[in-house]
Amino acid sequence: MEDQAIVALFWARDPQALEALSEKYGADCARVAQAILSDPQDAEECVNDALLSAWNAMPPHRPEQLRAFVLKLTRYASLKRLREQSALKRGGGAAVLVYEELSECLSDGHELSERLEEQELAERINAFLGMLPRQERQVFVQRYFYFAPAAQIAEAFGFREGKVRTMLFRTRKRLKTYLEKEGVFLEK
Amino acid sequence: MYSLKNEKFVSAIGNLSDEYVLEALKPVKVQKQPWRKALALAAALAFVLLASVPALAAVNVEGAYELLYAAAPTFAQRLKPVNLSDTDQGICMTLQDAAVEGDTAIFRLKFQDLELSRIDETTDLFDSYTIRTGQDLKGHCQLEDYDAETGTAVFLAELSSMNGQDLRLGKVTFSLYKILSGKQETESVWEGSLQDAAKEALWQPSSTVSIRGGWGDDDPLLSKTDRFLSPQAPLWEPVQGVSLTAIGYADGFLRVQVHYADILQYDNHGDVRLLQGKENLPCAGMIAYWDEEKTGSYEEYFFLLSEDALSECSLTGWFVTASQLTEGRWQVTFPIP
Repeated sequence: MEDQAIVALFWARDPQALEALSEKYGADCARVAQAILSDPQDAEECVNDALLSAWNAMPPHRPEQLRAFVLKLTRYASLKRLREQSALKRGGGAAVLVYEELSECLSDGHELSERLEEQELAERINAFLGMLPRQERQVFVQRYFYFAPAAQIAEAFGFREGKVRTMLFRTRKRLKTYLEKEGVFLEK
Repeated sequence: MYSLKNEKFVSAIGNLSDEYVLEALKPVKVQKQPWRKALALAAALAFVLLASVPALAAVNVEGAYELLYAAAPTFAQRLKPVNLSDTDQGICMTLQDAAVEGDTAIFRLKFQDLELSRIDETTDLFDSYTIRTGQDLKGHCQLEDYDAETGTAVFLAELSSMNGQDLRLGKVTFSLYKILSGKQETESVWEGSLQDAAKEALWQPSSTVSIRGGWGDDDPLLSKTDRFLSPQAPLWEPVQGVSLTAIGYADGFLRVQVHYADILQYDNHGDVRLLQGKENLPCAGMIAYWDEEKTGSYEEYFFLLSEDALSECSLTGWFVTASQLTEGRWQVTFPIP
């Protein structure tokens, strides 16, 4: 079913909308949730949470890209669950590595400006990604949006795993420099 | 290293543009656009001839433009005088062609060394360029072609709008500050004995090094280690700028320390692998820290491996180095329809 038709079902409050969305993008969502949460049942529940959020959001929202919309909802629901479980504080799971790696993009000893809204930060990161060659951008998004392990990314792109690690490491350094230039951080 | 600040960061990445979120699901190699060079060149030249230089633009004072850019970027860009070629440090950068189609613009820049041979098939702009237009765009620039006979490198830049809307660029200013060349990719096997080298390991407390970053497959490696290898006289120099400086065994990990010299100048980097027979043993993580001069980087690779297995293993590496950095300032400004 076309995305627009699925969105129309949501707007008509037709429960078939959930079935159609799940059938079309459920597997994508499950991959995102499983990459973040180690427990398959938790992951499945987060996909359900994302579908419910989609139901609550449409209407009034009419997403331009339904797939991206539901993937973002799944990522959000999965991270929320991860926080609730305090799994990060226990230092377990693959997701903590993403947090660890991204902390490198923060300027040493500086804090993100409290006034900087999440959306504004996202726009800066979008602008930075726009300057990257496509493959580097795809690898970055695979790792830090989808939480994909380096080995999986390497397989998808036909790279050596070491090359993916190196590419990510260098992109993080460049992002840090970019954000510093953009004045995202407060002075010490 | 979980904290509120990186929580905000991770959440912000959840708000990336739909385009990038979906693009990442299609891991394909970059295909060059089938632009018709001749047509593009004609279009660019036509616009250059038609472009008028505003009176104010005659006063090309960089500081004044910077001020104007801060206050009114579109206006500042409109005033910028057209300049299709710029030479500095004996290297000439020239606009070759430019065109726009829908929400994407392309332009090509030709680089030629008028004095030496610093432009080669590995030439890299080292992320030191900026592209200014009057509107917010995304874009990148990469080497498209190299003609060995004339020593000319052509870089292709692509710009597109953030929201898929048609471009109305007016003038574009491309500025460049660094040109890196003499890049070399090396893959090599170390002939030495891991076992013997590990016996000579010396260690330094982790508090003495300045961490640059790293990655790991497991729990954060940093929290597991209280020491790093002390660099020794190079055990191996597979290529100029890269040296194997120590090997040691601690906390169940074989640790391999590689020094990359002048990373800020030559962008030297690489990766090491451990082979047991023909089997590739995965690297469990890497931590990078600055050298004493803060110009080079030590990268310490961690391999989960029993000490007994060391004698069966060999070390290989893949390294990228460069030999020539030219710093200067090259800038062209040109109209795109």
